[in-house]
Amino acid sequence: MFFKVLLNLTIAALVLYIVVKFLSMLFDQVTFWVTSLEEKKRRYLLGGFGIFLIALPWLTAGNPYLLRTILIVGIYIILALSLNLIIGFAGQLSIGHAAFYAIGAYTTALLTVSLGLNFWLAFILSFVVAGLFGFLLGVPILRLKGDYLAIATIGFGEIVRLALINGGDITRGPAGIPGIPSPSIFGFVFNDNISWYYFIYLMVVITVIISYNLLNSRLGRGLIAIRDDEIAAEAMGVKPSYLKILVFTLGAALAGIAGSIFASYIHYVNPDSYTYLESVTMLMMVVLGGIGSIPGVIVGAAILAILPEMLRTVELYRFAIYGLLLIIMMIARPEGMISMTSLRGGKKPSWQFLKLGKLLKPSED
Amino acid sequence: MFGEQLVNGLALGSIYALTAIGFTMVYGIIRLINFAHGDIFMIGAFFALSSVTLFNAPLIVAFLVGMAGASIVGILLSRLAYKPLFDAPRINLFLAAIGAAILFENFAMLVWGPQTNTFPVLIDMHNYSILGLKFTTLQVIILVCTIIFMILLHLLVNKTKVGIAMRCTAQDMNTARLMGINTDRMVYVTFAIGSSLGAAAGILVGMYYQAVYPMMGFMTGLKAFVAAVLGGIGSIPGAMLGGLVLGISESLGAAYISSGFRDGIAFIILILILLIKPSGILGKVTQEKV
Amino acid sequence: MAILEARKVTKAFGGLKAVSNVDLIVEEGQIVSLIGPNGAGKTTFFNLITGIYDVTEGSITFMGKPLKGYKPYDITKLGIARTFQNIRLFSSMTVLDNVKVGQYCRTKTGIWGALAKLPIARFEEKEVEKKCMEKLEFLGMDKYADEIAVNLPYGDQRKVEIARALATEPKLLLLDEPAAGMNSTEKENMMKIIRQISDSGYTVFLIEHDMKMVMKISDKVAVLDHGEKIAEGLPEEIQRNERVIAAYLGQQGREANA
Repeated sequence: MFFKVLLNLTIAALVLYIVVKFLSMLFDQVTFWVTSLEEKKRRYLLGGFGIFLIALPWLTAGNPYLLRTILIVGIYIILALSLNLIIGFAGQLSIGHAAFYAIGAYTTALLTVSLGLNFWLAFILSFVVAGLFGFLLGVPILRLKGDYLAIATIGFGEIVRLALINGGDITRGPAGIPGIPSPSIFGFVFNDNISWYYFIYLMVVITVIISYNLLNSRLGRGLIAIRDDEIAAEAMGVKPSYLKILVFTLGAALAGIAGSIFASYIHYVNPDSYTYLESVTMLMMVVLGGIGSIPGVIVGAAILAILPEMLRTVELYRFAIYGLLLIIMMIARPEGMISMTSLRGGKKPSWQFLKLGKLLKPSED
Repeated sequence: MFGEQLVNGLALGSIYALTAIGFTMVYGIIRLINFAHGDIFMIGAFFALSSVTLFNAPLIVAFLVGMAGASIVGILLSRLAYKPLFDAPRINLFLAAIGAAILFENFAMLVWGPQTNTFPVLIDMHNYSILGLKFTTLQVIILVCTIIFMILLHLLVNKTKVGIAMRCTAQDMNTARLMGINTDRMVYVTFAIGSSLGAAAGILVGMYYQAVYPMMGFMTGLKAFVAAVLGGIGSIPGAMLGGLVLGISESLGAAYISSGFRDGIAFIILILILLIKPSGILGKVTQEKV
Repeated sequence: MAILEARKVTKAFGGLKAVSNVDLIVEEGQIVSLIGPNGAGKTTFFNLITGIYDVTEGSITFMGKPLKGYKPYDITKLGIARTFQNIRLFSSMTVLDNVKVGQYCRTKTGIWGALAKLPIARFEEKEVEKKCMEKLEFLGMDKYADEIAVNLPYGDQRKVEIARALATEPKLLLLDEPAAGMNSTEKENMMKIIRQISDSGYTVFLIEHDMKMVMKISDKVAVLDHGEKIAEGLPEEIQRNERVIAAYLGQQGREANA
């Protein structure tokens, strides 16, 4: 067994290495193509993509399974983008993001099931409560640097999960809370995947716009400045503690929204959905796509949310493969598939990797 | 009750201390919080368990197998996953360590299954009374083993040529290289020692709770990290001290405050120490040069 | 009028005094230079003024306000901007964005304004862009606005740093070795820029190793050695000062002979 698993993982590592290298080239090519398009053509492309998004549920008609996967992808895009605000924009490594996802989900569950509140009120309160927790956590721990911060956030994620399990009658322990109602608006109930699709992807679009607006504002520049060089940023008049807490709170609040959506979509919350591995999955989406790169993070979220569906046959190996992928990404492509630099365009990518000499000596990259 | 918890805390603390040393040594040499260290601790325990269940190995052999196996894993890890990243930003190295941790946990699940395996009882259990405190045989073994390993490590680091070379590399890798020290080899030696001590701790934990399971390294690893930070990361005596303080406060906290949040105590200590004295009890304060 | 006043300023790292008992006054509108051998404590002194390090003893006042307890960003907002000896541009940003960061403390858009891109935020953004382009034009760097700043040649990076510092709308500009690593034409050019900056109403306080440059542009020169101020005065006085020659010029003379 030991050697069989070892062999399988070695093969997986080699395959992953080649896949990562190949995808890097592919994404470089696509990014280069898109960034070198004229402004007008790019607008057409974006418009075409918008129409595709609107038409998507009808294109998948008759395949509820596919549409369901697309919904889950949407929720993960919101999560990954919210984490990207923290990791990508502010440069603060957080590996406890599932905690805010959980807080949002449980807020909605408790308010709608235990208190019988309207979903939309619970939805907004999930945003507020998750943000509040983000703020309360952020104030003490954002003074920490890099890996220390990462471990403190892992600790926070575990504390939240323990609190949910040990929460007694309130959180109902490991069994969780069932019976969360579907949202409705003006008498129209979200009880099919198509209405959920439009709701979720509306939130995705809002999250994308928020991310771009933040990035291109004075606050966004302040954040990137902190990420690039905190001391220089301070010397230029940027107050790091304020901006870090602000963006941590915002990221947490958006994760809370994703939690609220997820809880009411599956009508159920339990602590198992919000583990450390869930946080790692979100982290992987950001890293795979390209830390700080909004299109990259969307692609990363899509790939990693769809991948498990495709890996059903090797389901057992899923997280082992994630682990391998994280290491291989760091060695072969640390900047992610669609990196922030590649988005600026300019450099023409090459297919060098396909030349045999390079393939034989991959360690020289 | 107090005495019982104190002894329990001492035993637990010794285990944290042994694990924390691996963290602190690796941090000292490549400035990496080796997140996978806790999982090497688990792999070591599984190696020992397999050698007992498959080959009926006696305890001492099981220890050697576990420690040797773990140090090989540690060396491979540093060579394959970390070495290519020595010059990369530190955060990339840390993410690779997270990846390695996930890989090890799931590797163990694939090989040994996700369930909890019982570690067979290999020793006769007695109770001893020392200074009015009651110890079980196992607790005595844990304390004695820890003390022996600490003494050996102290001699190795302070009295041998390899130890001096290791300390040089930890202080300044470039200068050490210029002085003719094979720094890469020192990194591997560090990983080997840290991993084998971690494995010893893993086996002791396996015996103490009679349980070995793939996720056992996750929580213990985090706690050992807390212990290392508490004592002052990079400092070996600090790791010992931090481990003991953490073990005792956890035992007492679980007994007198709440056992449900036993695992939460470590993180509260972590956040407190990082806010009050981030350099730890025995750590050095450093200021970034501008 | 004194814009910056340091009184008996001492900075100790453990037992080592990097700056010891330094008195110094910078008059408004002047160009003041701080010179001294390597390791004399010049950059440490800058770090004390800008709040990166805390003063161990003594006091620094800026326009009559004691700076004790102020953080670097507060000090920048009060009106002191700086450049760094080992250039610290934001590596992922374009030249223009680097300079725009300088405007951060002079703008107000809050989180909701930024997220929703409210009209007021758009207006402010336009103003920022205009002001920053002006600074770049002033330094002759406007044609590189969209380049990644760290990809520029060394001399140009220094100019971007100066533009970024000017974008914080300072009253006092600290330049840490603005001409380091430049050839003589570039140095001439940098000198012209510093004069222009001074002529447009900024007070300039700089650290520099190039004696020719220091003597030409300074209204006043102060000399540090082993953390202590050993001389202060007009450039001509400093050139004749025995202690300075022994501590600093002598060393340069030896280098020149070698």
